[in-house]
Amino acid sequence: MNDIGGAALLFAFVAAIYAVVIALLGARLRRQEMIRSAERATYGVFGLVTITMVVILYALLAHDFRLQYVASVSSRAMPTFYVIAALWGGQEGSMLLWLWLLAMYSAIVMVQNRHRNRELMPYVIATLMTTALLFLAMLVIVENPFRQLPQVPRDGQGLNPLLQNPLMVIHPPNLYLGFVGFAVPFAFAIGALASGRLDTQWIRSIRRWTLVAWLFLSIGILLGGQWAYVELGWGGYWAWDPVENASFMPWLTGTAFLHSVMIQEKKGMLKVWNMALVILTYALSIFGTFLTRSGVIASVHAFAQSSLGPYFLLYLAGIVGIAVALLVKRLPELRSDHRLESVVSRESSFLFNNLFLVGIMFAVLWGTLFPIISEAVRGVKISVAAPFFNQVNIPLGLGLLFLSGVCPLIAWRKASVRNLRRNFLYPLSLSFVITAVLYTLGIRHVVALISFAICLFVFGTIVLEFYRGTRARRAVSGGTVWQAFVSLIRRNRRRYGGYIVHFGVVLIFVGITGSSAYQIEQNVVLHPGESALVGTFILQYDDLTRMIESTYEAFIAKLTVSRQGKYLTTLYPEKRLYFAQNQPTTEVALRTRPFEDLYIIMAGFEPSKTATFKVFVNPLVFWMWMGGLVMVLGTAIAIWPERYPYVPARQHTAGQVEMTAAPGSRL
Amino acid sequence: MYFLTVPEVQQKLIALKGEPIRVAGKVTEDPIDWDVRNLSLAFVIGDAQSRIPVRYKGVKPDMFQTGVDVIVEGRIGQDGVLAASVLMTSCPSKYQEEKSPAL
Repeated sequence: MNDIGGAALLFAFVAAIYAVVIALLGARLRRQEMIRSAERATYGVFGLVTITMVVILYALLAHDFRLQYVASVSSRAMPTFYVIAALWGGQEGSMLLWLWLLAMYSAIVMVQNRHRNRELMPYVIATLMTTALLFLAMLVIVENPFRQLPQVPRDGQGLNPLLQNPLMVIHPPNLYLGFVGFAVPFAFAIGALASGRLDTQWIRSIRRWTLVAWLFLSIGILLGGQWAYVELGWGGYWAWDPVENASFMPWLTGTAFLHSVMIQEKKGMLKVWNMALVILTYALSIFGTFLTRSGVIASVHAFAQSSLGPYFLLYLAGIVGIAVALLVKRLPELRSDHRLESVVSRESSFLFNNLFLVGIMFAVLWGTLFPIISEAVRGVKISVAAPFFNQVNIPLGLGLLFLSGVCPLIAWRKASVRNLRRNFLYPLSLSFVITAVLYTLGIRHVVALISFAICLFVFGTIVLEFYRGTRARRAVSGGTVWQAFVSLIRRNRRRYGGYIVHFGVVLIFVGITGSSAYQIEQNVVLHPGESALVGTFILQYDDLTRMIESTYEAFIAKLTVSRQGKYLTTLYPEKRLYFAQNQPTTEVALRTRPFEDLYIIMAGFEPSKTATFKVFVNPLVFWMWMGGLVMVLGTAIAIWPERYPYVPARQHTAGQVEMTAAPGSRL
Repeated sequence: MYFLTVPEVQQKLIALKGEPIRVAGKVTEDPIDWDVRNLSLAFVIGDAQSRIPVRYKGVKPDMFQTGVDVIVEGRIGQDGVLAASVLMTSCPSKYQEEKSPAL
């Protein structure tokens, strides 16, 4: 079995090389049958990598501890669910999953474009398969998942208990679906540059791909945050750790691209900028994988391997070099069809949105790489910590949030005073009034107040848009308010899906603001029977019990939580000791309510059962996860295929009809 | 904030006193003192040649034990002890396995 897997991996390597060579040759010689052959090789790569995945999965389920990989990430006592998840529980498996998803995406691209984008396809194939080759080379040469142990152990080491959490099982695949997904827009960008087909066709072909990649990356990042929150026990969800930053950077440039591409579609502007963003997003995805895999930067996620570094860097330098060279060659053909006419216009507000996003990206990149840069320049390693990131990114992030309210509503070309008043008077008033109410209620944290004010403003603009749209629809087609509302969204999914995503972002900002400005953190030492006051909660420590499970031993504290004499809930923070790894874990006890989370961990205890608890009250965190769900919903609406042709939108300002997307924009 | 290794700190000990620093090192085999009531953790990082005593106020991380790599942030006081406000242990991640030779 294992030999089959190893052979499949090797054949996939050969097939990928063949696909790259024959595709480029076919493009040069204009031989369609060679390009078709490259396509078949791409399907072949997908098939072969799938076989490899199945073989590894089989080895895991069969507890084949001859394989070093299987022995290091799984054990006999582990539940089957986590044995399967162990497929991506280690270095080799993670990279195999990355590769498999890429091969799958490539195969889907081939099916979709059997009869379309034919001039672009050879370059698309070559780019996708070159990316696959990077991972195939590392899997075959450096991190072979079929490496055997000299002696077969009786049992495996098992997956790190901290990772035995459902969130951690679905987090990596989501993140990879996002990372890998950005390879498709990049491949089409290269295809457009190399073939010279620089019209908006390539952009339409990848619109959904970009959204899908962006969606999965967003979900992946949020799941990672939630896992850190419920599993790591430090009361937070984001620490500006290099690994977190690695996933955040392509997200930022990907978001910038999603926005600026609309300007290119509708106005024929920002063509070079969009190319640059696609290249940057792809490079950051690969770079992010490199950061996590090579161990160049010390991180909480200690990555042991360093032998992979040179592969990544060489590859990155090569592919970005080629992409930039192509871009420079095509510069004369990428001139804008229009110029910016006014600073107060939709075009320029989109441009600002892009500058903010890319600005945050550079700040994060700078902070992440600072130890390396300072060592190279000054000979001393200087690292920056969370305060730097917060100082730089809070103003930029708030500015960005503000723009998400302004951008969609401000007029194209040049906004008139009338346009501004019509769209922004009510939202600004709403924001002002409620912020004043919050102030009188005792919210005095300046940054929090500013953030809430902007959140309210953006929320106001979104509600206003839906209200006006629904009213206009009802005037045209009648029916109930609800029917008009649904039909409004169905007739322009992209636009209204986008608003819903913005609403999700508002909720996420509400969650971040509440939990960072008003977190309560307190340590309490209690004997059984004693109680303590934290925030408005009274915690009574009842007892400590010991339990033996199949893979671990647990000490469970029982805490009765009440507020003003009213019983609320009983919480059970736990300390576990996993036998296989001899590793303690702290299980968080959590009570989530829309207004606040009560978050308790047991830091330690004495034989007398006296225990020390660390208690956090995290206001509004709930809305962060809700915001994530809303974002998923909005993106799903935007991705869903349009069944109706676009109808010209209603008048926005006198004499200005909103531009509509070309009808052929479905994928 | 300077990011240093244990030998680097030892070399420049006098100059670094009172400065905010971040140090990476391994937890030595010296006894670890974990005061549950006050959430105070005392340990030593480094190796046979160079060592720094550390006192950390906070919860002992799950992965913390003799021999693990840690990163601490804080200042070295007059007593030569690094008073740490941040203690990070390497590897609550799945991305690496400890390479234990022949199980």
